[in-house]
Amino acid sequence: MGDLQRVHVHVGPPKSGSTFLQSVLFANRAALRTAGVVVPGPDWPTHRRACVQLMRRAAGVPARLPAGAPPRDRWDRLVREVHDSGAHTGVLSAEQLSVAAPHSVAAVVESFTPAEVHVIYAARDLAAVVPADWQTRLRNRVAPTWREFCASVREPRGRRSLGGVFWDHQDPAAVLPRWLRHVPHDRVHVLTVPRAGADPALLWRRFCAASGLEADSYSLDVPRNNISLGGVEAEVLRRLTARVAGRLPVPVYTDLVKFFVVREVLERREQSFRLVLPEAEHAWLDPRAEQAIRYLREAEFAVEGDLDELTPVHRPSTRAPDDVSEAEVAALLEEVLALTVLETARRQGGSKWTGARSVDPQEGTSDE
Amino acid sequence: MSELEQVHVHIGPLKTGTTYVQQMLVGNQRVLDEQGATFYGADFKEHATAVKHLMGRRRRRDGVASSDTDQWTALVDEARASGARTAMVSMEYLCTADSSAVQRLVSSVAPARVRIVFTARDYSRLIPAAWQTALRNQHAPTWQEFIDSIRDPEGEDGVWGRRFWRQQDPRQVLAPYLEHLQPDQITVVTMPPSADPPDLLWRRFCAATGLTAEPFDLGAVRRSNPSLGGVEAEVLRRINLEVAGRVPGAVYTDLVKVFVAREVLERRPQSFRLGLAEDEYDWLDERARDQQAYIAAAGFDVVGDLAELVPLRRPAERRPDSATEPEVAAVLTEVLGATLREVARRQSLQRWDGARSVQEPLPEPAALGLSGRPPRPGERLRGRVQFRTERG
Repeated sequence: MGDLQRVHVHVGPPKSGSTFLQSVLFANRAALRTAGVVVPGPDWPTHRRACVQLMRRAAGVPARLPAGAPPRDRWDRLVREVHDSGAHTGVLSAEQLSVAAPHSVAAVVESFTPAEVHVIYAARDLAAVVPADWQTRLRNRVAPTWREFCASVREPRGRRSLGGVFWDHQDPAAVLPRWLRHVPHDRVHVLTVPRAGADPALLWRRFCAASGLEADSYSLDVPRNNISLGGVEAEVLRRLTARVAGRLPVPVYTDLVKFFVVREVLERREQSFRLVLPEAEHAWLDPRAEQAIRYLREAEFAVEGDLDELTPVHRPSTRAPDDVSEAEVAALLEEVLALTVLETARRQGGSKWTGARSVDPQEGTSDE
Repeated sequence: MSELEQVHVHIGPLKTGTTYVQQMLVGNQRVLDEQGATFYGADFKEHATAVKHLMGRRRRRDGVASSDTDQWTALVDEARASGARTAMVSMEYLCTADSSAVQRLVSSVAPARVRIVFTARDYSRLIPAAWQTALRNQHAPTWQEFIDSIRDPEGEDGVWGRRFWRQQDPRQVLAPYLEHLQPDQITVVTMPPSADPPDLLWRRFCAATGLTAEPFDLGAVRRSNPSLGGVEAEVLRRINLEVAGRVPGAVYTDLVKVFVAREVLERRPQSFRLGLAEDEYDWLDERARDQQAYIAAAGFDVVGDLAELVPLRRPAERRPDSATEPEVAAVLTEVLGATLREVARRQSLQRWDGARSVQEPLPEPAALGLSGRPPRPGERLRGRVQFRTERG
């Protein structure tokens, strides 16, 4: 058993293949351990929560705990697991870390001292990121229309606006300088996300090259979650989210909308049409993308892949996300509603609801 | 103690205020008692079961009718034992009774005399109500299909029309009754237009059955069957296209008929009123004249006014099938949102921790313990549904 030498911190950002990379890391935990690499936390949600907790703590956000509950120590447990593992390398991965403020960065670095903390940033063509990020908002209880989202990304009104949040995690010139406050330049690694349609193994190989792992030793046979929604599917989700997000507790929203409606219904159908950035939006996006590429190029980080892959691809968009017809929306809503009725029946085990009712069912005979 | 002298049998038909009359009877048993009348059953369900038994529609188990409890006989026995002179029966399915059921009715209560109450209503009000009833019971005809069928019941697509007229045309409804009863044993009560005071129907019913209306508590009526608006009806129709046949009947009743239709669709502000278009009144007037002429000539007692059966021209501002896709989409979103909240409520806000199937294709309904096959896209269900009013 050796001492911990380095910890690779993969900071996303969102929509740059992080779910896939995390699935591979957690599916191969045992094999990685054999190779002297530890991915701490029993599963990724725990792992992610620990990272988020660190950021909250570093920012001085008080934890909302019941009176008398012991203070949360998820991050400390994660760190302890890395130190106690005997592994020479630790890997953390949470796209939430892309918005880590310098004091959070300092806390991460300090937690693993004297081991070296390395940062991995996955950069992707922003023309692909914008529609994907819109969908992520829709899955997370915010319901801007496509136009509203685009307008805000084009001209953010404040740091907390949709566009402000977008650039806070998607602009490498915003993310990386925060890490560079406490991490030396030569420990920042950039990898580029391959173009759509490329073998997913390529992204993994680049991740391994950046983190010194042996790419071919691990299985890539992981479920593909978080599949991109088609245009009509996204619009249906938007309307549903607008209606229920504020009226359901978060875990219930997660269960019913994010998991049931999105994953089990919307993601499974054949995409109505692929969401792509409409040509008109390239006029403002392309210069922003060029700025980001220039930043990465001039900073001379170690790059796995090719910064040219970040040049926005113009895809012919047959339809804009806002152009879905009401008839298409209605047809899909019918489908979702029907499956929700079936799901309700399934959850009740096919039995009839016998709980409180606001209307007297007066079941049976009187009007058939 | 008196002998049972007469049995007033209110035979509906459907959508003629029967729920109202029945709730008045169920909720005023003491008043009935004071007036020497009795109404069978602690709740309406028992009463309905008794009538089903009379009509020979026993629930069959393993292919054998369960004959151990004949609720109709129990109803008659209880009426005789009650000491009341008059027994009241009210069940709208009796409008489709056949001759043998009527014969059983007459002989089972003899020597007490049977008196029939038929509540007649303006056809132009009945047709949209009948369409909604179909939609609330898993069927999915469009308004146009439905109205065409009413207009041409003998045609190939006339199944809805045949059903409607079999239930509503007094000539067809009363024919089996007249095989065993004299015309003066039948009273036609006309249903007042909706603008009249709500208790007018009850007063007429009392006049027809010899009850004194005043002591009855009108508060016994808990709910009427509110009408769906045009967009709401279209939304229900589309849900039926997707759901009917894929869930057991009890689940459909619970989730669609009660939850979606009553708790969500009925409660929202009606999008627009369902009513006939101007040109549809033209052919309907002829049917209504025939209805009036038949009743006037048959020698029945009439309570109310046959003029109330003339279709009241109140053309709708929109055709029932004119719901637009944006309107439908908006209401569907509302229903879906309400359904998700209902699921959350039923789970008492607990997170569902049962098996998830994200990685597998959605199981077939049968594999979920749900019966039936899914309808094919766009399939109308009417083709494979047996109507109770059809013989055999």
